[in-house]
Amino acid sequence: MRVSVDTGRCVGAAQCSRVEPELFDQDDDEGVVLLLTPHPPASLQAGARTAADICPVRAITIEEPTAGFESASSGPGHHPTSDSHVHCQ
Amino acid sequence: MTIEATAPPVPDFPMRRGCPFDPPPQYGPMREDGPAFRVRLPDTTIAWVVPRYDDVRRLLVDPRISSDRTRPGYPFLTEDSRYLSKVRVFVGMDPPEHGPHRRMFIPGFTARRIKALRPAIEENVTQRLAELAAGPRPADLVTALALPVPTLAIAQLLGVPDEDYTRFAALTGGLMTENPPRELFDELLAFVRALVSAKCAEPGDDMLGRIAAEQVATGAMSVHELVVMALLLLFAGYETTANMIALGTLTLLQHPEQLAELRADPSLMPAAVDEMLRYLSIAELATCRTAVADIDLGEGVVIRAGEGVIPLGASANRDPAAFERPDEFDIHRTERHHLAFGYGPHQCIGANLARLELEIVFTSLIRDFPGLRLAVPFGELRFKRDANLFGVHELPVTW
Ligand code: HEM
Ligand code: SF4
Repeated sequence: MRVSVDTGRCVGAAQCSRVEPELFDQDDDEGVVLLLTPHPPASLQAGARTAADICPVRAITIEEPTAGFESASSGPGHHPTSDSHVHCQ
Repeated sequence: MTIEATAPPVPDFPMRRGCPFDPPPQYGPMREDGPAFRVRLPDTTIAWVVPRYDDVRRLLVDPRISSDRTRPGYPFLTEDSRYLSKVRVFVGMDPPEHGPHRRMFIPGFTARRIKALRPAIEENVTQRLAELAAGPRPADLVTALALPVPTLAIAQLLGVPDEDYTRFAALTGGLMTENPPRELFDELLAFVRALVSAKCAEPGDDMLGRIAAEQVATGAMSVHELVVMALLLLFAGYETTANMIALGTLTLLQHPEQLAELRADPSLMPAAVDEMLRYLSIAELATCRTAVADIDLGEGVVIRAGEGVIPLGASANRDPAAFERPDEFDIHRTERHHLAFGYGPHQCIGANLARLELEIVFTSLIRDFPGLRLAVPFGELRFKRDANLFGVHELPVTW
């Protein structure tokens, strides 16, 4: 899994860091999202997907390495976002 | 027969709740019947309401809708909201203007800043509960707990000096009574003006102080704009949180088994708070918008540029397409995608502060008052049925 964040879009709602604090943090001065690693270990991947799903401005993008995911950046199985990328390797 | 004669009548909006725990009964059938419906607002203008989860979420991030209150067609629900629209603050701005203005305030709401408020909020809750325990029974939980908790949190956020706190609490509390006198609002305005002037003269390391030093001193923001913003934070964060404390307590009392579970295991509380927010959805009317281009919602429904649009968060939060058993209150839900704080660039900036306050209040209350119960029959409770922010006027409890 590859995670990226668009700090230009982020509105600092801190939904992501609440869901998965080991993957997302906040910049102390600006308050915008800080991605701790673009390649989260398996234990953080479910949290990464939930965060991408609930981010209110869709500033979090997830690329899944394997095919077969209907909606890579969605949480519990719904709402594919227009800016999510699903691709095969 | 003319087309007008066969067209269904346009219902009035806001629609009102029947059961206080459920959204207006019209929402369920609307979700099944179509993506958007025309409604008549109190000032008789016609606007659209959007009931389904997917549409609500999609619309709230759609650049074709605007929060700008000065655009013709913006759906005002009260005269007060029209009055507030005259000042330009980020709540009423669209991207790309909205982002930089909102960002001035984000550093005041980071997880670390919010966490730093925990001890003060906890101490306040402990004191309020000690007073409640020592006082007469029954007691009104709204005045004893629901109002004092957000008062202190916002005073901390705004950096109200300790010596002014009593006056601040008296002013804000006074405004929460039914039909508060106009002078009280003027006094609060004068109070906030003095506070902002003091921050500009001597900026400390709090949110207003930093904005005064970085934005007002450099001319990026006027003193007046900062005053309005401070008032807006106060209004946005005060009654919302207070209503959630009272209604959330009532919800727990109505679900004694889940209350017992929470008492036994307080680590369940954060999820329970989010479930209360979803289930009660008290602030759905905060997300009024205007279409700036035609928006085709499918099923033959097109919202035209210039028409008002109100995505119904409370309906979305009860959409069976998004939540299993949506009408059940269930603290064990794992879904996190409710829209009680809105969605899109305007999603509530105070969401995590509100969550923290609610977690602390409910955890302490059910721990310290195991025998807590309503002191009047449920049917005698007076709900804020005509208000655009749902709540309860008093919550008489005993223990
Ligand atoms: C349980 C309590 C709360 C609820 C249910 C709530 C709900 C909401 C909702 C639905 C919106 C979206 C409005 C829109 O889309 O136009 C919003 C925005 C906002 N809220 Fe809250 N809120 C709560 C607490 C707070 C607190 C504690 C604060 C701050 C002290 C706050 C400050 C704001 C501000 C400033 C906005 C506007 C954000 C923007 O336009 O970018 N709220 N809130
Ligand atoms: S949830 Fe989205 S908007 Fe909020 S802090 Fe994270 S990236 Fe930014």
